[in-house]
Amino acid sequence: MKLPPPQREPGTGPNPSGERAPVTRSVPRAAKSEPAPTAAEAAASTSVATPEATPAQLETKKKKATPRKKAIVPTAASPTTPAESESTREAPPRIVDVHAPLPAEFTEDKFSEAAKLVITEAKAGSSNPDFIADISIDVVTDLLSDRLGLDRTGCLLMQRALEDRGVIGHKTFGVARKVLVDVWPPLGSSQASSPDSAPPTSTPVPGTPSPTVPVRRARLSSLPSRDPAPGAVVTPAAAPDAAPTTPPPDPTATGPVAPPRRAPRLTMPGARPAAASEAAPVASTPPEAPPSAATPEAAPSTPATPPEAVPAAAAATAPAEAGPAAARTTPEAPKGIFDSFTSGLRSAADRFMARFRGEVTAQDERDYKPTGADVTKGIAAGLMSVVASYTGIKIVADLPEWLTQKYFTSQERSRIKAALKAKETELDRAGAGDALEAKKLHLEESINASKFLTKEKKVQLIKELKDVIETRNAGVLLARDKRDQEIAKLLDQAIQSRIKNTQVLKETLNSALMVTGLAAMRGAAYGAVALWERRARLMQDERFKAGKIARGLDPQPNFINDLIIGGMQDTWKQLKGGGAETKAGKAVNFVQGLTIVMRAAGFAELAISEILQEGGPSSMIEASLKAWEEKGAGQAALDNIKAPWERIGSLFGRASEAVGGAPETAPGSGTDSGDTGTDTSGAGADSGADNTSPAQSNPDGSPSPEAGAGAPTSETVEYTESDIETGTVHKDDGIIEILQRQGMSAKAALAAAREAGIVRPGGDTRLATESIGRISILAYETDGHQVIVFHDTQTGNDLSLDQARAQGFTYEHGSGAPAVSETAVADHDAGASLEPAPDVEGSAEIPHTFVDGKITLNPIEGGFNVDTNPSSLSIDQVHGMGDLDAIGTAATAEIPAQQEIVNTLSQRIASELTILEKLDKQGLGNNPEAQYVKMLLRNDLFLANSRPGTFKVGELLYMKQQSDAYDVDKLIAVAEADRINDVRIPGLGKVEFDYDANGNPSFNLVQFLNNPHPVLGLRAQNLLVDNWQESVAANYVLNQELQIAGPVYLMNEALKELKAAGHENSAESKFLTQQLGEYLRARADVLDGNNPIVKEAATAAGIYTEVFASNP
Amino acid sequence: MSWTRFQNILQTRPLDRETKLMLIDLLSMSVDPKLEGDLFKLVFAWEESEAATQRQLTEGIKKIMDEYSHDEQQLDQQRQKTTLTLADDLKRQTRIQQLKDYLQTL
Repeated sequence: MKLPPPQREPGTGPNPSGERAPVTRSVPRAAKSEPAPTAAEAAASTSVATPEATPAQLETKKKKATPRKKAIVPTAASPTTPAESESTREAPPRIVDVHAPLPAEFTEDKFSEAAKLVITEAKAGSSNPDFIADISIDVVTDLLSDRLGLDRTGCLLMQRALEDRGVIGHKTFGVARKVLVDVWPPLGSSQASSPDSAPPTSTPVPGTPSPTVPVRRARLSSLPSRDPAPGAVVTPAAAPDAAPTTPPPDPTATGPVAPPRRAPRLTMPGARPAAASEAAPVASTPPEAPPSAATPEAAPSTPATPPEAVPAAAAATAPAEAGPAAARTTPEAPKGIFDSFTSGLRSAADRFMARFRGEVTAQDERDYKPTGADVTKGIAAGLMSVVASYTGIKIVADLPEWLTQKYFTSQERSRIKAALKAKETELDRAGAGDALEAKKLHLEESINASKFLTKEKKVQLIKELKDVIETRNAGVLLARDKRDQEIAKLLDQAIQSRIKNTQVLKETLNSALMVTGLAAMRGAAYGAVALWERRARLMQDERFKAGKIARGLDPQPNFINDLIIGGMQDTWKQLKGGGAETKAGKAVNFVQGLTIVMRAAGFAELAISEILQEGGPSSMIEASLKAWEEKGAGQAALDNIKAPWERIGSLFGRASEAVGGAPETAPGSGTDSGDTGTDTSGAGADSGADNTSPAQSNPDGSPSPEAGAGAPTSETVEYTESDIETGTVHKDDGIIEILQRQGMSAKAALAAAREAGIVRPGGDTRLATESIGRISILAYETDGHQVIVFHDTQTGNDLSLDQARAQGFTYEHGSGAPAVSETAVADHDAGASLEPAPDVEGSAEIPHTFVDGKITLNPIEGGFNVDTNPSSLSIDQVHGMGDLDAIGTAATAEIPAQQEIVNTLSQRIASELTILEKLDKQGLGNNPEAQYVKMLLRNDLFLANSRPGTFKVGELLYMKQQSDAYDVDKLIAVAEADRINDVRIPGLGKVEFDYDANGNPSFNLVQFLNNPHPVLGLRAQNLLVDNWQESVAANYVLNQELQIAGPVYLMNEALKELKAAGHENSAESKFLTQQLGEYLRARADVLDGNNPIVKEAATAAGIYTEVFASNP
Repeated sequence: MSWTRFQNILQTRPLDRETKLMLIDLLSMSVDPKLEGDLFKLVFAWEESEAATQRQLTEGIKKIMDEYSHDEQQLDQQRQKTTLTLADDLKRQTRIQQLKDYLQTL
């Protein structure tokens, strides 16, 4: 993008005398109907800094002026030209009066304070010292309410006053406000010199000093305006448009009065008197000088001068012309308008990007509290910049809206896009133009110039040419859309991955801090920082200072009284809810306050529940302060450091694995110099931690006669309190689960349990109710064998397996018949499919044969054959593995039935693993049969790992759909062209149909239920009978009403939508009807048959009479 | 355990301020080499994972951009081909007309 060369009026070039014109802005004109000023009038009215406008003159003119008459500030520089009139019509002048009356609630001082606050905040918001940032209305409101104590109405009134007096720009929805002044009160206004002096005239009486407020810098104005408000004040950028229509100056003038061309910056108000005094002799010489000449953008160069040459010429002449004052006002080398323009863009874009990269700017520093959303934004913005660096800004700016919607608010999105677009404009400006368009034009010219073609032929050829270009452009647009969508998807994945990794890192660090007790020390460090911050805040608080001065005190904060006692008072206030109106807000403030006290006292490890048990917050504070006094900060912190850090266990290892995906050695594996560990209260703590390390556990699980649960040992093994606590039995705990909780892998835990005789071929040992809260299951390794002990926390004794059984802490489960316990299932879940299945082939438990590549397994009636030839695998054979329907129905029954299923599933799982292993050995690990078996295995593992009564109905349905996909009898193939693909459910969103390779539809309910719309749960609950909870297991999954009734609601709504769209006979409708009927049958016990929606669904499925009518 | 690498991570990697402070606090306050080692392992694992994520992203983007360039190139070629056909048509028409004019002069 090229800017037009600056227009320049003849005779307004550099002053040959080396003097420069006064630094002025534009002339405020009252109304277009007023007569054009004479040159003398114009010169006199150019600026408050114009030398001839002496204080005496000012005073005289003020007296002549009508008090409080408002200044109408035009947006064009030349008031009498037609162009200006046009401009005035298009952008009505805005009325700005620095003395606009204030609401009765405010004093002038209060207003000045508000104005200064806003200006200071806006300046702080800009990383570029030449910039005043726009300011969000929220920030203005916060400032006014926080610093001035204004209520909401007061804030609104003050904002209006700020607007009326030209401090901030016009209000535009969704756009930050422009701050229009650099200082307050504005220099040159009577308010600046004497607030009580007579109000100045705002009537543009020729020669009257301008009462306009100082405008913000020209560079800002040259930016593409995001504020559609009509020109609030004189806008220097408007000058170039007006310049050509400015009446030419008198050629007899003694010299040009415009300043040399230089960086388009106006001097700041503070610098203006100096600049004006430097230029005074010149300014008074040419009374004809047109006011627009003083506007930098309008600063004309000779028409013959190419724009690029202007900055250089200006650079050469500026020092001599402007003298030292000019050098002060424009310290940097003079730049062309284009440089200035682009640097402005760059600065704005950089600032926005910095904010969204999560960087904290100076003005944020004080109150900055990073939240999860901040981290997410930072990550998203960071990765967007990665994409931008590879693809260019444009692509990022064009990324589909949905990506940014996920991570940024609408206001942030618009700012990002504006910043990116600005960058894009900047980058594209040097583009070589559209070569394609040039070629097209060339060819068009050739066609038109042809003497031999008929007119019709020419038209036809040009049309064809146009079609060619349009086809190509349409193709490029399509390709671009595809590319952007793919990039957005990729970016989304990367963002999610990075968020997950960073969360793991943060949580692990946080846990480490708490577990090691270092958080307490950190709290002390924070305390010091907090004190310093508080001091800094107090020093900035004008009210604080004023209050102290009023009481005749030193305004400097007194350390003890203001910081410590004041801080405690603040803390106490927070403990009382901190003035929050909502319960949640009070709770947050309470926790924050409590945290301060806890940190100070070194009770970082106590949970809130523990505190409440100790007698509530007041008792806790008392205890904390007492501890603080008695022990001192150092000792309090040391007490926490003594906390056993071993409790971290394999925290780091697991976290490293989670973020890196690579196997990681758990801490304490003895691989480095850190073997000694921390000197903790438990002498054997290190060995205990090491022994529980999965890295040292024996995976082969070979039985050892010497080893066993609680086998007598000559060793004295001591456990840390944390070990014992972790190993303590809770409700629904299993032995394997407890061992896993201590950091053992499922495989190692199972091996240890086998070795200890807890898991046996004919059954297993389980924990009795008496063990809950009393027995702690602990494991340690000796001579290469795992030993499991039952530690009685009441007596402190370690019990053997037999002793534990004798005392009623355990009981035996299962008989001599082959059965696989739930512990085996847990083992399978932990990736046991990778473990070679030992002794399976030929085992009596899972009889099968494997001859010539053909496996025959008989765990289930009917057997199952897999041939190396995929085509020989029949669906019936696959279904011979078992009936998922039957499993699904039975699984809802009582626990005994569940147990039977678990046993059946265990056998199936073992069979499926064996099949997979065999297929893999045959090199058929990825063939369709293997994929199908894997699917079955996944489903079975899911079922097997669901506790009795806790499986998710939605998952079952999904599994059934998967299974149905292989059932030829249930296939409802839909041709690609006939597919409906999705259906929109009112108020809930879109639910998609999935189609497999054969075109069989399935309704993607699982995905929908896993990410439910908030209202879905409520609607689902309405479909259930009263006391429906009694009909399902007590330990059902979360969102059970959603899992139970959600599918009914969704499928019924989807069916209605399909019907409304005329798809009632579609394959999708049939599929949904079938699914709905089956589902209603399965959950008829808890669904309310009288509910209209249930009735409607059952009627649609054709089963109402059968299922509900008899038992409404 | 490379302090240089750790320092580099703090300076250059996309971590928020709070996390960096947590890391610094943990390392500065801990006197336990094992804890220190574990911290390093964790942070380095995180960094590697980050690098992998970014690598995956950039490679994916490169692939997409290559595909896009390829598509665009093909479209341009197609356009060029069609335009050439048009130009040929233009020339052919011109030539026919010339021949007609020539024949008439005979």
